[in-house]
Amino acid sequence: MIFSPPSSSISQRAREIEQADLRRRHRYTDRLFAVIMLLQVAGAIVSALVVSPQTWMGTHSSIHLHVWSALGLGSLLASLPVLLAWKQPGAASTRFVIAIAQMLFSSLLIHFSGGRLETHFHIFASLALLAFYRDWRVLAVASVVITADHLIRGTFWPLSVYGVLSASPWRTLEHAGWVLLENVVLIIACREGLLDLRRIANREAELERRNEQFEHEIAAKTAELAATNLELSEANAFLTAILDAQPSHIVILDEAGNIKHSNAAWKAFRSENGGQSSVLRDRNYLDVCAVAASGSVKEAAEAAEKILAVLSGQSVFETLTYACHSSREQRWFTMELTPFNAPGRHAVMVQNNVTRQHMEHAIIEAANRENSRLAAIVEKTTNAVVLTDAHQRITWVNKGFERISGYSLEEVHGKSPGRLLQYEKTDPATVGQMRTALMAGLPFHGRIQNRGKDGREYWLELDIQPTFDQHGALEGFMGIQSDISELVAARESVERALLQVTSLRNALDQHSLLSITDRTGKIIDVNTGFCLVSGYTRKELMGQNHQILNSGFHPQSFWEEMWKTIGQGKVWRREVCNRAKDGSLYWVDSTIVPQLGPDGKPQQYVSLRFEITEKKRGEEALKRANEQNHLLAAAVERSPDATIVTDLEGIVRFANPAAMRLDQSFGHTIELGQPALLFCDDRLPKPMLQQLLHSICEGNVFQQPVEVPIDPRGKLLQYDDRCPIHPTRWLSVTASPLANEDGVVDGILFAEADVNEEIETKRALEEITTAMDSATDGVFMFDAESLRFVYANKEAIKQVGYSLDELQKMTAVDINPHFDIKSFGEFVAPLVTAPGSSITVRTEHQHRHGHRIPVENSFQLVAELGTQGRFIAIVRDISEQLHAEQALETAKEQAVLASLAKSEFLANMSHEIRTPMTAILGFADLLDTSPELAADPVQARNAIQTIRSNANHLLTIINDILDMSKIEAGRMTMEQIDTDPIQIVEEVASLMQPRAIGKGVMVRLEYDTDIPRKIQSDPTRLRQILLNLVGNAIKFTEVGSVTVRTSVDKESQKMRFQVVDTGIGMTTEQRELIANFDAFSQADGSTTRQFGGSGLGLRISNSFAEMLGGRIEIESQIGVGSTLSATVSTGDLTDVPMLAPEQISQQQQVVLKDKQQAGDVPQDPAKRLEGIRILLAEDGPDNQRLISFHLRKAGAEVVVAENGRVAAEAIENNPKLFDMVFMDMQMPELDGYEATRRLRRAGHRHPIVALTAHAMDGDRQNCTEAGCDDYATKPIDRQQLLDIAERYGKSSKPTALAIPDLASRSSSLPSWTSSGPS
Amino acid sequence: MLTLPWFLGVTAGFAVLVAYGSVPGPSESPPDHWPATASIERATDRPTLLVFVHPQCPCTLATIAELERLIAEVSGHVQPIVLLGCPANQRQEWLETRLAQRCQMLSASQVLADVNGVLATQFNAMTSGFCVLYSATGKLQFHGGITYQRGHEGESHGRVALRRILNGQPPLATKAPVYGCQLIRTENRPAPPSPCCQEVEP
Repeated sequence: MIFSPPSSSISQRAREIEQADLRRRHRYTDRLFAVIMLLQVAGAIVSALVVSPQTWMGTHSSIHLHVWSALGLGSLLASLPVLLAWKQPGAASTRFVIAIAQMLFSSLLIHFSGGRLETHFHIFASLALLAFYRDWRVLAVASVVITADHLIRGTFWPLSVYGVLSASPWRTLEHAGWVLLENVVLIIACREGLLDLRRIANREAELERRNEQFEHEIAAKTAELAATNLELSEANAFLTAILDAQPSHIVILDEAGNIKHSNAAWKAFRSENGGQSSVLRDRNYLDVCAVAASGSVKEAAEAAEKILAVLSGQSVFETLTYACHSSREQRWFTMELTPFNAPGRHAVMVQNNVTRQHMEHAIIEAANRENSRLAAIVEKTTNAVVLTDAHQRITWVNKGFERISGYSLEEVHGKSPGRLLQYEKTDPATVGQMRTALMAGLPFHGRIQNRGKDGREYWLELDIQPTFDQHGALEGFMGIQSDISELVAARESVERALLQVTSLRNALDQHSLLSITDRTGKIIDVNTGFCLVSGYTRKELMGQNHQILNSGFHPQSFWEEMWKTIGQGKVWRREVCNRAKDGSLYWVDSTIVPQLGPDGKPQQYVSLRFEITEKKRGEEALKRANEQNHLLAAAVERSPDATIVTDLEGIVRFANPAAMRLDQSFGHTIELGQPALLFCDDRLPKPMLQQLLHSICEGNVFQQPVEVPIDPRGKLLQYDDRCPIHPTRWLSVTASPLANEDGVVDGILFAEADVNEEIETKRALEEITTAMDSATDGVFMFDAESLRFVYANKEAIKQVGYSLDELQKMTAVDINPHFDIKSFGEFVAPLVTAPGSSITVRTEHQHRHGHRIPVENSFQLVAELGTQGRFIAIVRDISEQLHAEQALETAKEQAVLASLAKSEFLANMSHEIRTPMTAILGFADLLDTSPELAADPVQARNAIQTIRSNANHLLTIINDILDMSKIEAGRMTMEQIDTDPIQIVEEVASLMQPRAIGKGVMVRLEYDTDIPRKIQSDPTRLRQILLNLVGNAIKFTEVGSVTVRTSVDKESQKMRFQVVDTGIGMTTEQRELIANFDAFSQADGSTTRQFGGSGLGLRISNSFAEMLGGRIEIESQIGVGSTLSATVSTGDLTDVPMLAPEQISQQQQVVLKDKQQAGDVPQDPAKRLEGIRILLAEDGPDNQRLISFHLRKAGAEVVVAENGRVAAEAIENNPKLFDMVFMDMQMPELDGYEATRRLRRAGHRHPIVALTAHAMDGDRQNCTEAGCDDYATKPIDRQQLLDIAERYGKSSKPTALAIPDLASRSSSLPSWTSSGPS
Repeated sequence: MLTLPWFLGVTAGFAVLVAYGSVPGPSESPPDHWPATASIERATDRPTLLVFVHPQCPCTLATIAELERLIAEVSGHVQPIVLLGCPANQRQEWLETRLAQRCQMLSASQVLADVNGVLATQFNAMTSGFCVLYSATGKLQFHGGITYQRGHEGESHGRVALRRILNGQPPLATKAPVYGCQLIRTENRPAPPSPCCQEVEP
């Protein structure tokens, strides 16, 4: 099909349509493929479920991988295409992805089928579907994908593609060729489709354009039609309106004489006459017309005949006049019939009410008769009567005209009266008016001057009336003329006189105030000027006396003199001040002229006045100005400020005496016509001078203080000659511009003043203020009488929190809560009576925010300030000072208390130490000096027991003091090692058991919760705490029991040891005293005396407990008992094995049983160390004897070395000779540390136990670092010694060697051996 | 932005699928000679071909299709016996599968039920689709599968080898991988004589 190329707009539109269609197709195909993808996935899943749902391993099955593949891989394959089809339908990328995915589906299908030929058709079907896009690129992408797939799999897995073991590359080419062939076909089809699409788009665009055109035409036609209809409607409406507006009754009749249309007048007529206008249409005229209503059959028949004649075309016009009277009036109507075609023959009937015309006709006839009668009158009158035609040509004149004008009718007939009678004096304006009126057919009345035939000038009064014929057309004019020449002459003379008077009056009105009064003074006439000036209206003035204008300025005598003068008939003239209506005053130059009557006495008074108010004001202003100038000159002359007037060059034109004095003080004399001092020789800084002149030229005032240098004699120096050592003086310079009459600045007015003192004072004040504000104390100044603040420095303002403005509205008592006005007055009274004195007081000030500030105020009265003097208050904030004083007082009290406590403690300790020492020394002395005591084993034993118990007690006190000292010095440290709490509790109970049994008190152990096998704590200190608590409990219990309850809270990681006794208990006061854990207090001194003890144990135990993460709490009831609870931290108990209480009990029994089985209860001390060989390295002979005695008594074999060297050599020479070593750490020649290190370096592994007097933890660590296995502190506890010896001696037993005979030992060993002390 | 990860994912899926299909089932060598204790009799005039089948295995359909082709190619030159493994307590359900029906449609073939896999155990058959060819004298000639991939019909080395052997040509291979599900087997002990093995009614 060949089509003509469309225009460019159509082409563009066609392209748009084509593109839109293509996009729509793309979107549709995207969605189609999205559905296909989903169906393929579903199909794959269903196929997998049908074909290979399960895979088997014997009798056990599981879902086949193919099902998962169909679900997973299939879903993955379809996911992106479906997503893109949903989110980006129509995009090129979407269809490319769809193409790729569809081809991959084909590959998958072929793979699953094992290359079945039938499955290859999926490729072709997919390509055909992809061709829906009409996009060759999509086919190309799909072809590339499938070709690549065939190529790759055909090469590596031909079986999966072709179903054969091996495939020739030609096969891939063959497959690709078939794909290519299909692509060619599809691309051709796509192209054809696109071409079709384009053709369709072009047609659509063309169609759209035509449709647009049609629509435009239709719219235009429609608009035209609408306009036409509108016009018709309007025309119809106009016609109807026109008809309705006609006063005539108009009816449209059709051929049958029926009424087709009638106007409003007709309808109204019918309604008026009892008809119904609404039913007129299509009623026959004759049924409703006035003719029928007239009741005249003849006229009705005649009307019908005429109507029919017109409707039938026999006549083109008919008319009929008839009478139709109503009860109220006589009426006549005319009926006119006119035919027209519309289409069909119609007639319009116009019926007019001619009643008026009929009546008029009758009237006219009556008028004609009257006219005839009047014509006779006209003929006989003396006035001229002229009749003219419409063109104002005379048609008839009467005798009167002939008489006045002198012309006869024959002479004037057919002529214009104007041309005939008017002459040069005739007023053209009047003629014009007359002509205008006559031309318009209007009447005219006026006066005109004519000239008669004989030349006589005369005036006429014309009255011209137009005449009309019966048709109302202008017929002519009738003029009636009256000769008023004499009247005019008289009037002219009157007018001339009046004009003169008026002119005179106007002149008076403009320039004077004229009033006429009668002889009593009442106003009978005033002119306009009088009213204007006085403000009163003429009406207000008429009949009034001139008193209403009295201003009160003139005395009564003034008026009396006036009346006297004018009463005598004389003219009186004065300047008078009157008051206007608005109250303002005005001056007049008044002349009163009496008008004398026939009797020579004044009948009226004519007052002629001229206003002179401005003149009077000017006189007064001049007078005031002169007075002011006089005063000003006097002020300038007497002014203390220097006033100088110069020109712009600085040349003096005027100087007052003060200026002269000032300049003379600078050593300069002012001279008129010479430069002023400040302009001379650069006395002012140049910039300032320029600024001054600039301001003056700008018309501004220059004002500035100037510091001018002077020499020691006071002479003004040049500004540039100044130097720091020269004194200066301050001048206040004010320069104002002076302008001449033209407003041009041509001079300068200088006002200078010596302000040196003022400036200096101001500076001093500023310095004082700065100093005041720098003060650290507040300074208040308040009035001595009102107590209102006058000044406060910065510190004062800061103290009270108010601003200076606020303080200046307050009084001194407003900020002091301890005073009122009266009490404050009494307080400061001494300052008034003793000026110069001061009062210092400590009080409080109330801050703005309500809190009080302790201050120390020092008041002083300065009588010279103010009117009654000023109080100066120096205020110091003593808050910190008070705090410091209080803290000092508190510290002092505490120090005193501590000193007292320490003194008491020292006194107590002195007693505690001396008491056992006395017993020890006493019994030792007894043993030494009393042989009988020593010989008696029982007494000797008792003495030894006493010495031992007192020594132990002394040791306890010394240990407590040492512990307390370390705690107070902050040098006590705690270990955090594995600690068996149960073991410690049992050890404490075991140790305390003998003492408790001795007092008959039972010691019980209870476990309230599961107990961890180990906690992180310091076993030594924990044991010490429990020993103290249990010891105290036993000490203060005489009967009953002491129970140790142990429990643990895993969450808070705390272990609690409650020691509950049934002892004497404590009062509340005693408990509170103890609970302070004061280092030096027991319940009271009496308990110390009764029960002994240092009083430090509980304090030390509490300190230990606090350092172990807890504290000690005390509960007690007097007479019932006490409970002391010690808590310590356990550390993290996670994964720590716990023992239940019953398990603990069982364990205890097992241990007990084991001990029983092992024969551990009780053991013979003499056998404990049997077989153990011990080397004792000790340099002190006493300790050598004591320690070796204890060990040998226990069955050990002991060798003593006096120093570390000997000990080291003994072991080095005989390493297997000894089981263990007790090593004193402080020895001469080679101390224990070095000896231990030497042995360890040599590889000796003997257990070495350090013996040291130093109890500090650092010493223990030193021992351990040196190589010691354990340590024991001196003084050595025998049991501890034996325990240690047994533990280490039995744990390490080297190969048994024969112990050499001690007597044959090396000479390096001391001679004193195990034979015991001598 | 999503295209590349998508494509890679799809490729990986394909690879997994191909890999799965290429993994043969477990196999062992059967006895070199026809076991005397076998409960079935072999042919003495021609080779006997045992085909062990798991009746539920979907991949073995391809094996049966190839067997069908093979039988057609070597008609009369072999005695095919198809052994369908089944548990004793589900015998009937297992022998009514599509695969079992397909086996019964084989021409010139005997289809037997191998209850509890006794014979499979005896001949060391582990995977469904496992074929064992014994000569007329009872000597082992071939064992293995006759498909090239799981469930895929088509030429395979196994089928080619069998065809050649049955046609009297020198074999290119005497064994081939088997692609299929694992067979039902008894404990490793000699199978008792029948009646454990019965002919399957068509």
